[in-house]
Amino acid sequence: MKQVQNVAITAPGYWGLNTEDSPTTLQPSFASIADNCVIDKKGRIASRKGMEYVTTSGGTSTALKSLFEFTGDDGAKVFFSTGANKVYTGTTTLSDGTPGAASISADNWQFTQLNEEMFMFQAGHAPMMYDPDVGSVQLVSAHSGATGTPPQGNCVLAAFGRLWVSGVNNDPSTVYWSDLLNGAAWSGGSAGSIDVQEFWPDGYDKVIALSEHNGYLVIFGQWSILLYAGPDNPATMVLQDVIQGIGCVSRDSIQSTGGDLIFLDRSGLRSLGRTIQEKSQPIGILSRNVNTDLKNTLAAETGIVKSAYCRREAFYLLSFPSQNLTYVFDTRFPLEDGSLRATQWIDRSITAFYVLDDCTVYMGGTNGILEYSTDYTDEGSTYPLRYYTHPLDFGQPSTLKILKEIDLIMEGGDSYTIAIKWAFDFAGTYRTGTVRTSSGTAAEFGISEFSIGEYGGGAGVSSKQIKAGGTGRKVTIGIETDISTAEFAVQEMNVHAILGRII
Amino acid sequence: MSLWDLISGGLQAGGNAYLANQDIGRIEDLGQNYYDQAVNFGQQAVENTRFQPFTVTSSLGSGSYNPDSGLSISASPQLGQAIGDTLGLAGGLANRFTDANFINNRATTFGQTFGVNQNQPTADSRFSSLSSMLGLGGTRDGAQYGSLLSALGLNNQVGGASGYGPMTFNDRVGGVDGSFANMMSGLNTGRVGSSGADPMSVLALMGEQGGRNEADIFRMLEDMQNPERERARLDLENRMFSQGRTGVRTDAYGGTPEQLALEKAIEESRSGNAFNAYRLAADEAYKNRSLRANEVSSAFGLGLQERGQDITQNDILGRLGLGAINAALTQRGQDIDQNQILGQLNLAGLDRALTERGQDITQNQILGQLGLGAVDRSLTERGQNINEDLARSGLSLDAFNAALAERGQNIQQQDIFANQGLNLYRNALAEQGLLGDQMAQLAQTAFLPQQMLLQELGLGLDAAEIANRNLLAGQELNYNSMLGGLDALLGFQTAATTARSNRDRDILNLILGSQESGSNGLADLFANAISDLFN
Repeated sequence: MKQVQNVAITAPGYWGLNTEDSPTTLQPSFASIADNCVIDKKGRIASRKGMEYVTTSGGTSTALKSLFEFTGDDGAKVFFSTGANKVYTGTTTLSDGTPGAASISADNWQFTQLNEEMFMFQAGHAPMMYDPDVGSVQLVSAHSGATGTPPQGNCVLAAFGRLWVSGVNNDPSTVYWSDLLNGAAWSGGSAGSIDVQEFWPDGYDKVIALSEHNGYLVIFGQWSILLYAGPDNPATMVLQDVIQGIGCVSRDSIQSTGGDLIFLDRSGLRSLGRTIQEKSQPIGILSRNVNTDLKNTLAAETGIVKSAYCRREAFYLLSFPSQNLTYVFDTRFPLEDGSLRATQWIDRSITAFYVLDDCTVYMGGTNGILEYSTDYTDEGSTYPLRYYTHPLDFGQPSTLKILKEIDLIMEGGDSYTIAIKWAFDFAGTYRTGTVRTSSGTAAEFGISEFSIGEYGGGAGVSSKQIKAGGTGRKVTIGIETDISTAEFAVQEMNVHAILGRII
Repeated sequence: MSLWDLISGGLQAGGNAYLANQDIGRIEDLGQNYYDQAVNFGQQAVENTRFQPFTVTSSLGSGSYNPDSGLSISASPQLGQAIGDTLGLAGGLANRFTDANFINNRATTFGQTFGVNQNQPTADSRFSSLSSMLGLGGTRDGAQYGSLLSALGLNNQVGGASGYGPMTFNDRVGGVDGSFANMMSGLNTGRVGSSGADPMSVLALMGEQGGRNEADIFRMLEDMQNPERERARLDLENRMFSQGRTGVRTDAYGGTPEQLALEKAIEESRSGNAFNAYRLAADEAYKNRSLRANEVSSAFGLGLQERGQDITQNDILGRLGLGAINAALTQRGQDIDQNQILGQLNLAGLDRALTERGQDITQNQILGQLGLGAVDRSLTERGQNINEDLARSGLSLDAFNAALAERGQNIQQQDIFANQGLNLYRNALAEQGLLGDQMAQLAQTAFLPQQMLLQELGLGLDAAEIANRNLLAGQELNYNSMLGGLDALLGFQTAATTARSNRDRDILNLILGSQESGSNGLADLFANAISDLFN
């Protein structure tokens, strides 16, 4: 009598996607598909939250491309967004705050704040700013403190007590800095510039983005990175390091995680800290497990790549809006090779991100501002979750497996119908069985809703089994469901199979 | 009463009335005439008291006054020329003395020309006492040099467009007084060594610069330091490049602070080199001239040895183009002195005067050179002080004085003279020297005489006050006259009225009297009138 072999996959897919390595050798913890998933706080494949519009008025067809929240010294906040060649203020209601003197033909603005003033730069456009004492957005040149001509750069950084701007059309290698504590003063004082054209290691490059890291001014080129030390005195700052072969392809892909900078290179998602340590070694690629797909996606992208880093959610989002795809990299615990666990959000074109002080994630949408919402609906509708394993051989790749049963332990879900799918030997034809989760919402310990009706929610852990069938050497198992009201996570998956003859 | 009586009485009364009317008319005419004449008299008084412009003419000038333009004084051509020359000299001197660049340039030229140490040219070429240079005697100081120059007849040259200014004069004098004198003393020492050089060529060298100029030395110093500078620049450039900073441009420093510091250090070094170049050039020039002076002496000694001649002071003068002095010295057997120098400086007139009179230069000669021949002669003939001569014979304001005296005003010639601001000029000439700034002051104040005159007249500075006062007097007379005329007219009109009243009363009485008596009163009156008529 053949003995039933049990393969238990605890926290299936918690290593995230892996589309790089051979599926035959991958651990069961990797997923081949993880759509609209995140790695939750327990290290499980779970559904992402929903996306609901915050904007209820004035947001129609705004197609927001940039978001920014200005915070005054008195704590007053003003939310700015740009789209349809306009500048809007507000969240629930978007008001057109475009200066009359501004001539805007694109929406690729980059925002920053310096000394209680907001500044926004875009190549080929006169920079604009918001001064709460003025109360409206105006051209920098129109501000009472303006001196000189502000550069019409494409990237701006507020750091070391001044603004840093680069990416001026036809002058792509010069970094300009403003006078100290005055982002409107571009002549006199300690204002100045540096042309780094001579210092690109490949002979030619252009500044894509500027950032600050560990007291260094980081100048991102397309193909290389320059690190200047001592930028608190720009006249004496010195070139500390040059990184060749790694650059930044997207200005808005750069996010500071506190101890590191994450940015998108043509070779994949990179960490500056590890890049400095390891130079251009491939081991430093954070997106290693999805790198080819990521690079292909990047190559095919025609929109503006956007990103966000949320400490509370502990993920780094990288959106490719023209392909309705967002890569999600979990930043809690890197894998052994240093890469980040990745999942994907599909079927959503996210054109802008901004993370508020309370870690609320705002996103740019066609008709205004979207919030990463605990409603677990997208604009009131369900959205699909798909999780698929790589082909599993149960440790005996040459032995035929006769699939008997699949057990799922799930958490959350509110009477969700779960489709469990399986297929053999890399075939794309899946058999399907369904289970249904318990009703009610899952308990949300530690999410500040204790004693507010959701503590010990009724929809807790659901353990469901289905009888499976079929034979093959390798089995691929998938889970699909529509997320509608509550979080859903796959806690554990057990596959029972009878090992047959050796093929 | 008979008809005759009546008629005769009526006729008499009518005749009396007619006569009374005639008298009344005469009385009124008399009053009117009296009034008219009083009015005419008053108007005449006004006209007579109106201020009349007057003109005063003297041998040295003329002056006129009218209430509109005030007092105008025109000097005679001679006096005008003299004053103009003097004022021109004063202005020129004032400008020259206050032009620091001019003095410095002259000092530099002087130093370069005569090889004076560059640290000393200003002091050496500074105007000291001309008398000490020329030996003219007296105790004049440098500040009086201006007036002395004018005394030497250099007015036009100083103040004119010839460019032959006082400093040029000084240069020439200084040159003669300095280098020439030194050379003379050197030559007097006789033959010193022998270099075998041609004396003429050596002399020609005297006119050249004493050594390389500052620019050459500056370039040499720069050439010595430029390699190190370039090394410093290159080091900095390499350091900047290694630090990734070659593209830094700042508003505060232009480039980087290090680049600014280097360029600043280089510029400071260049400034130091420039200063050192001046000092070294001066030192070199001084040494070269000392060497050439020895060569000159040696050359002359050799040249004269070869010619078998002895060298004299006159030979040297001839070589230097001072043939006239040389000849004069030869003829007179005199040693060169300040007079010959003055003669060579176109001061022949003064030279001759000095020679003929055997006198020291005095104020008279100065005046003579100034073209004030009349004054000079007057001074010579009268032996009087220039103050009085100029005041009395020079301006001859007697007519004006007399005119004022006739009007009962007490003003003296000298007061007029003083009020015309000529006292400064007079005193300046008397004291033989006017400072440039004093002359300039004179130039500014000399044309304000009318104010002084009016002040002297006690009328303040308002020129129209004189006319006003006269007009007031005339108006007062006019008023009084008219008032008298009116009084007379009123009196006569009163008398006429009284007469008319008496006549009317008499007629009335005549009528009333005949009615009351029932007699032939009217006839009596008529008869009386006829009787009076024929009586």
